[in-house]
Amino acid sequence: MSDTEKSKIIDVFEDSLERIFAGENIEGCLEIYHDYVDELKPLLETVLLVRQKLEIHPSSVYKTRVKEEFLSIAQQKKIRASGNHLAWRSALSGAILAFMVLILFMGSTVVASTGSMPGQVLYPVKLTSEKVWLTLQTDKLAKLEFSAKLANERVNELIYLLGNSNVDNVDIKLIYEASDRLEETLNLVENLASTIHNGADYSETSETATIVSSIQDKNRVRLMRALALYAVTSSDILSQQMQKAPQDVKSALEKAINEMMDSFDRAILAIEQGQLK
Amino acid sequence: MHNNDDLSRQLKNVDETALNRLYEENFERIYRYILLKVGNQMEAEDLTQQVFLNAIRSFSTFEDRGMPVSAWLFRIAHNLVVDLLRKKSKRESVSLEDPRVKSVSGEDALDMVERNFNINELRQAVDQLTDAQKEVIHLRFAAELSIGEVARLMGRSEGAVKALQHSAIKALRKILVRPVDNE
Repeated sequence: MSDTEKSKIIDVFEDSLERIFAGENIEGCLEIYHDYVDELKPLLETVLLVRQKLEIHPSSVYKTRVKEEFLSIAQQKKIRASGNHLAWRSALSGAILAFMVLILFMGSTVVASTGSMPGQVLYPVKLTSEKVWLTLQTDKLAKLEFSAKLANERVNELIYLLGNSNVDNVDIKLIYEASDRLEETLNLVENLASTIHNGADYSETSETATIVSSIQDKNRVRLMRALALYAVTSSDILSQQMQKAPQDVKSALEKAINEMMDSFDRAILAIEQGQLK
Repeated sequence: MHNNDDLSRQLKNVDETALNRLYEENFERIYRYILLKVGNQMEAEDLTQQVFLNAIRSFSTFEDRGMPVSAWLFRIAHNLVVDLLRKKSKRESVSLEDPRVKSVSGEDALDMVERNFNINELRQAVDQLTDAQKEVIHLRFAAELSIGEVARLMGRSEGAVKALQHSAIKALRKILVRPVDNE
């Protein structure tokens, strides 16, 4: 076959492919390019086979959840970028109001919930109060430090669940949920660390730029050390627990450890790079 | 067909309609592109989410140099996949194909295994292609990008991409279809 013929077949195939993508069937393409049927037909059949194997869709629940997060972050950026302090204050006021209501009506319950563990009645209260505290942290470094503590707390909860499990009576659902919460918190730690590193949240206004410049290097070092300590200690303890854990939960636990080490690595690196800038 | 300049400007202004469109037009394509590369639903879900979160955080730094916004998203996806695969090669990772591991989306484990079967079969076939052929299959069939967009992302001419596409499908035919023919 000459180069010209090869080149022609390649073009014919591409044109047919575009037609298939646009909804035409193989027969329609072969009718147009009837001189190339022998070469074209097996190729287009393979294309259909590949497309069939790729006919896979993410679940709508997952897609919606990610979209909500995506749009929510966009909205936060918009509020910051437009310097809409009223909106910011309104959001903060809302959070403070919610927190005050929480304190007024549930004050003693919140305090009692701080030591609660997954599966216990007061555990949802503990998670809610943590979220409120996190929202109230306006300084990014403070938020990062608080979220690192939360990650440590999630590790402790996993350890607690594993310590209370045995081979015959293990609540896998609780352990998976605890593992997911740990991962979520670690993602938060990582994202906050990256944000501080990139300065993305602070470049918009002079007010926030001032906040960044006020961050002392010693704070970064302190935070890095704290993160490293959490990472090493938590990993060691979880690894020890994994040796004793029922087979059913080992994979979830191993994943949690890997995720944790990765996230801590990235968070520490992000802070370190920010310091060296 | 939207104007890329308008879209990138709207995105920088955090126009919710533009963001919605960007998400709806690209989410599943990016998910499939990543899934075909990593071969694991849970990791694909994590990375797809990360692509959009990274994008929204850095829209302000996006510079329209003739590259469509969607191509920029695929570049982010590509970098995240490379990063993940590099880490996995350094350290033996947990087998996420384990049916006991629950998907992020909460999908039933058996459904997940069934769904992964097709994609993994294709992935194993694609793995036997050259690197350039692989990338063309990923970008053209999983990501559903045009020849022009693929050429730009790969830094090759459109003619070269068409030739790679042709040779890749020909090779896949031999791998995927021959066993069936022999039956």
